[in-house]
Amino acid sequence: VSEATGIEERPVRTYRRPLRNDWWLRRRSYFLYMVRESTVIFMVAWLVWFLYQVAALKFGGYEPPTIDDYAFIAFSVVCLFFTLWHAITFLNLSGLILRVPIGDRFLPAAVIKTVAFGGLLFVTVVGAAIMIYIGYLNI
Amino acid sequence: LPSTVPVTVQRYNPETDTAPRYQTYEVPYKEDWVVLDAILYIKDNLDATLSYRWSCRMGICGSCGMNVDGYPKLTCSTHLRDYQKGLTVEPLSNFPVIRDLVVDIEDFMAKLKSVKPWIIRELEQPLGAGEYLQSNNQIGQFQQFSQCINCMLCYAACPVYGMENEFLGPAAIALARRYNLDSRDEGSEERVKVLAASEGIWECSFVGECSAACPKGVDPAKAIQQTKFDTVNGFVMGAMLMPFGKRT
Repeated sequence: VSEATGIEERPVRTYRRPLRNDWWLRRRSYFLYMVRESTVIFMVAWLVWFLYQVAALKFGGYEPPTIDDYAFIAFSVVCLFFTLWHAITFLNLSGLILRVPIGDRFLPAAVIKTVAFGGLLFVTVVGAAIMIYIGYLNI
Repeated sequence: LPSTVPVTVQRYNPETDTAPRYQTYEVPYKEDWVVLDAILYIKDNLDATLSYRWSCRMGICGSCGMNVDGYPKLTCSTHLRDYQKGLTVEPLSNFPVIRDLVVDIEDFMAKLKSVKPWIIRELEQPLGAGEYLQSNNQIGQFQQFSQCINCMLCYAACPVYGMENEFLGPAAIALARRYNLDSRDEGSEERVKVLAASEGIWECSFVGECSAACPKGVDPAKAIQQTKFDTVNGFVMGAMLMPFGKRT
């Protein structure tokens, strides 16, 4: 019994609306979020293929993909597209999230973003150069 | 322009209903009305049994948050002219419904309190020492996160909270960030226990809808991601680079 009102208080029977399994189809932004999360499947798939090729190279049975292997090219292009999408959407937010203090101010977001994309470009170019060089040595 | 607009409202009476039902009312269409005006009209003229929360009518109190056509909105800032063919008003998603458009906010209030949203000092200076002064830059660090009006739209928009109610949630984390960034505060090490717990920042998978739904531009998603970065940074600096330094 409530001391303030003298009325008997009973537990309230509430209703909780369940979240449907298709919640991510009910709003465009939810759908795009799920698509972006799914990009990792393609990234992992390509990585698994790559590791398989490395293992084949070591243990025998290695057959390098050829320029007329259209299935492999299509697979790689799709994986590259999703990987770039994932990386670009991630790095686009770097300026918003990373806070680099300079005195009592912070480095401008545009600078952080430029450095992040520059870093991606640098790592890509260096990585590609190393792989081309290794390939050249093996010819 | 239409003379009336059909407003469909989710109804739920815990004493008679086992699940919500929908009821449609014809409400006069007025160019300058907001959705809350339509709901007030229903209450005053058509059905006095309709229950809902409201207070200030100017986007300050955060009481009138509801789902309008599935999107969490402040009904006092959502114009009827954007829904001339009709609209559906439901209680905020992800919260237990007490009655009609009224949701239970106990869980939200407990989570807000859990992050200790007040200035914590290791040692209070005496009154005679004067105010704790701040520069404009120092205020600017947290000002955006201090605009939250606790309307809970971010919780209604967050599918992570919908699936896992234990999640601390966007507004509570943004509020914690507001105090962690305050130059007068020394309580971030107390808050990190709550923030970095399994129900804290790491539950967030960065859907980003909390920031899209926020009527005050608080950007809780930014607050969460920044807190993740600071937490990792603090761990690396504190536990790995300076293992014999100050520990709490």
